[in-house]
Amino acid sequence: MIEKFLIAVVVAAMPLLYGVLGAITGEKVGQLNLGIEGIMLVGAVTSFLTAHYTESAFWAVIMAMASGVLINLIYAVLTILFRANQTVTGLVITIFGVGLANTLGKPFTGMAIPANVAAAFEPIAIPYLSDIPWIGAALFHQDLLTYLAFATVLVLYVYFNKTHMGLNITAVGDDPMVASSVAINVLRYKFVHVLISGAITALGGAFLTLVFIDGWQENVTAGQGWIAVALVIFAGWQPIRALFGALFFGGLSMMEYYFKLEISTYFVNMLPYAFTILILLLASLRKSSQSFAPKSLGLPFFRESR
Amino acid sequence: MYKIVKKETAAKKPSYYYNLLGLVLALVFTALFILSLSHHPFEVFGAMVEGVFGSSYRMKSVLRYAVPLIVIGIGISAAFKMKFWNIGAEGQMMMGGIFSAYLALNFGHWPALLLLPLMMLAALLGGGLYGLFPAMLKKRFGLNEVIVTLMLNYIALELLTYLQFGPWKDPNSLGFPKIANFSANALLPRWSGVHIGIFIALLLVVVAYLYHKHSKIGYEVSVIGDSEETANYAGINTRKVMYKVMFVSGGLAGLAGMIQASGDIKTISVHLTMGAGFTAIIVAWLAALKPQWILVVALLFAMLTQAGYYIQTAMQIPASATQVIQSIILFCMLGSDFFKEYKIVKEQKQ
Repeated sequence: MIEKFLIAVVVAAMPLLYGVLGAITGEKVGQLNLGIEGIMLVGAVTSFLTAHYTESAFWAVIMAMASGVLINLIYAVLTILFRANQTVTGLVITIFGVGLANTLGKPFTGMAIPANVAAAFEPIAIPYLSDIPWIGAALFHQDLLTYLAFATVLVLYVYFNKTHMGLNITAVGDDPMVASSVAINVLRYKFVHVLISGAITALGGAFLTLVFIDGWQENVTAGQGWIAVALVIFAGWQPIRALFGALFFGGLSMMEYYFKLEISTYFVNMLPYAFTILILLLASLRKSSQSFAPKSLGLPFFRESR
Repeated sequence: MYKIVKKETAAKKPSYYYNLLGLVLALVFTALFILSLSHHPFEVFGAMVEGVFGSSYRMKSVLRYAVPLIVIGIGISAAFKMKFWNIGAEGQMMMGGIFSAYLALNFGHWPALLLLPLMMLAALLGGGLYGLFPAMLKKRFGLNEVIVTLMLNYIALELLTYLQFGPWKDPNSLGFPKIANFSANALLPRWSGVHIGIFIALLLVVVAYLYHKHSKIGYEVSVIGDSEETANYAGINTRKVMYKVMFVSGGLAGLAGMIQASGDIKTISVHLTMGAGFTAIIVAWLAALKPQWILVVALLFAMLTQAGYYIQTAMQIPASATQVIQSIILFCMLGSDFFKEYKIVKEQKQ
């Protein structure tokens, strides 16, 4: 029972985790992107359509990432090159993404992905590790996209904290003017990481269609992209803490299916949103987490105004 | 290599020149998008015009859609001018609707002259408090208002769903989850088929225009928007101003909820807002947060919405395609703003 619950929690956490990791990657270089929800939904519909037409699990994942890169290309051109307001541009990205995904997906509502693609995302047990009691199956008897998410956490952790480029990223996010003066190509750093952010974020949507529900439904992300944006603050812009944050919310959303709760399901549905506000509140009371915020987050960069 | 140069003041063309250019570009992209849906752009554009001006009923529909966009847009622009990103108009609108519906459902026998003003006050209060809360969280604890207002949208929607499927479900609806229709006393009067919400909206535009130009708080809001530090230094009580403005901003969204419920759909339901809270953000931004332009842009967007519904039935183009067209327009506008101030020139090799 508990073991089944934990497995479900990990699965429910993965779309959020991809969303948070994507958002962190963009925000590390100072780009606040409120388009996460839209990008996830476009990733979801793209992976569904690709799976539907090519019957290839590989291309479904690759095309989802490509769609995230393309959508964020619009965001990057507008905010980085044309210095448009990041908040407004991000919002429009979400409206655009949601509209586009629901338009493209309309004829396929309720349809499942091809069986061979679904089979490619069946759980695979890792020998020995998956036999650990309680948490073994939850962590090591999962599908490929879940393992990829774990790997992304590790890669981003090392990349941000242990590499030279990671140092440069922190410099760009904290003070692009100073970074620029020590010959870091600020615009290139911002562009590249915003595009990577799109690819990671879109995987969150792909996870929903390929693994979680095995098909397409209108608005399948249901606001998870927004929770991801909030979780970034809770995670203090750190990939490993993002994993725990996502697991917590996964647990919250799975609770009502595994435990008998005495309150109306509508109030249970409110919990993730209420908890998001609560968690922001806790994060603000614990002042230290604020110090991880990239200091130029949300601000445009003017090189010539030195 | 290319580089970005700030334009000389003398070389600047009037700013609407670039907006028009952006609009033309948006039209081109929209045409491409329609082509990609395997429809003929000119046929669709033609159908859209037909869908807006084809009959007086359709033109009245445009007014119906414009009212909440204007009312909410005015409120949002006040908050945005202060750089308070109120994304929560959806939730504030629902709260206003819920508060006013409570009166309409329980005191429907009261005379309209008493009931309607009370419903409006209740809506202002419900939306206003729901807007004040994130402002307090921001000022007291530094919480990001974008996230908080967004989360409050979802919470309001769950609350409304709960009411519709639970305690407020109409017992006479044979088990169908809907809230009972308002009594006649709780309905906004109509004037040749259009509810009087449109006059409330027009009045608000005038009041907001005067406030923006000639009031102390309008000036204070502008100063805070430019720099909160400057405002503090100038002795402006930024907390008080932010609370007031967010109460009004949320309150107006709430009022829009009451107008929609009492004037348009005659009850409330989970479909009360029809996304007006989000569309109004775009409207306010495109209108450069100016009340008189909000009126114009809201009417244009209401036409787009009506055209969107028309082509949905006439040509089987999903309504979500309208969202795409709206965002294409906004992308082009956001991009065109840049060229008002800057130009891109080829860098000379030294």
